[in-house]
Amino acid sequence: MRDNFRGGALTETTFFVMLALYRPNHGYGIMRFIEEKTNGRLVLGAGTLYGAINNLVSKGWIAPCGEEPGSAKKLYTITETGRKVAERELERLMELCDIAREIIEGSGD
Amino acid sequence: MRVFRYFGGFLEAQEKWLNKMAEQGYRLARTTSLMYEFDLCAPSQYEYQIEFIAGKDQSYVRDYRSFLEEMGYRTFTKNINLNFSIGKLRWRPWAKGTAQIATNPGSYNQELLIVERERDGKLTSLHTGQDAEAVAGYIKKLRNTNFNYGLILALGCLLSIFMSDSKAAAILLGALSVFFFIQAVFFALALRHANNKKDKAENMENV
Repeated sequence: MRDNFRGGALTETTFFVMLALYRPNHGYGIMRFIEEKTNGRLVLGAGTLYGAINNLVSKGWIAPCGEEPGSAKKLYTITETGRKVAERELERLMELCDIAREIIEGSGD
Repeated sequence: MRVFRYFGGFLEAQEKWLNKMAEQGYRLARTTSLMYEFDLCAPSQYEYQIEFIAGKDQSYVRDYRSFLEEMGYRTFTKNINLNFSIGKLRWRPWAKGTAQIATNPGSYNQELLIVERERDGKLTSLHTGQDAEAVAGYIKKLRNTNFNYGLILALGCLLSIFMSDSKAAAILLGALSVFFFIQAVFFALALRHANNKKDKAENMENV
């Protein structure tokens, strides 16, 4: 679960948790979001998710934003810093994809 | 239904046993240091996982438990060691923050968290990587303590055989010594198992 952020790369779990919080969501919601978006390929354990959330809160990339009305479940949302990090990660991944495509798809020529 | 069992450092055996009980339609209702109380439920309705939490401080454990309960899980605490003294203080140098001081009653007999959740066919573990090293370190200390007690008592037993005529003292010391040696063997086996698991986890990381 370590993020080597100097090199720019986020772990898949970290990035997914941040993406799940572009709208306020609770722990269970984040879990469902990741499961649905990856068609069940990535299913996080509750303990792992708990660690990821706390880690991101202490980094200031996501923040608690009150409780869900009715259920009192803690809600989280992505912060401005978090958005910037996510945007940078998207750029990095696109660059990586371009390079990979160039080599893998271009290797036949 | 009440069942008396003691698993000590064998975390996986305990987990397997709880899951077997759940398959037969018994759901955990309460735990004490030597006893598990079960309610009836539909067979295979629930599944159990055990997590080692002795290295975490109380506020973390409280927060973590409420997070899990928010997810719809139920949690119970459980002891690894058998200790019935009250007012005990123990230093845990390997733990974090205020968890370094374990008290009884308190965190000293709540080393494990039993997590119950509804079986939904998806097999996900609580943690992608378990804290195998902390478990091994903890059990090692228990093994050493019990071995040392056994050794001291065995020496005491020998001394009392040679130095005094009282047979009662020798028998008592001998019996206590055997008791601690048996516990030491028990924890030594658990330690070997924990170390194997630790090595496996490390190999996985290196891939």
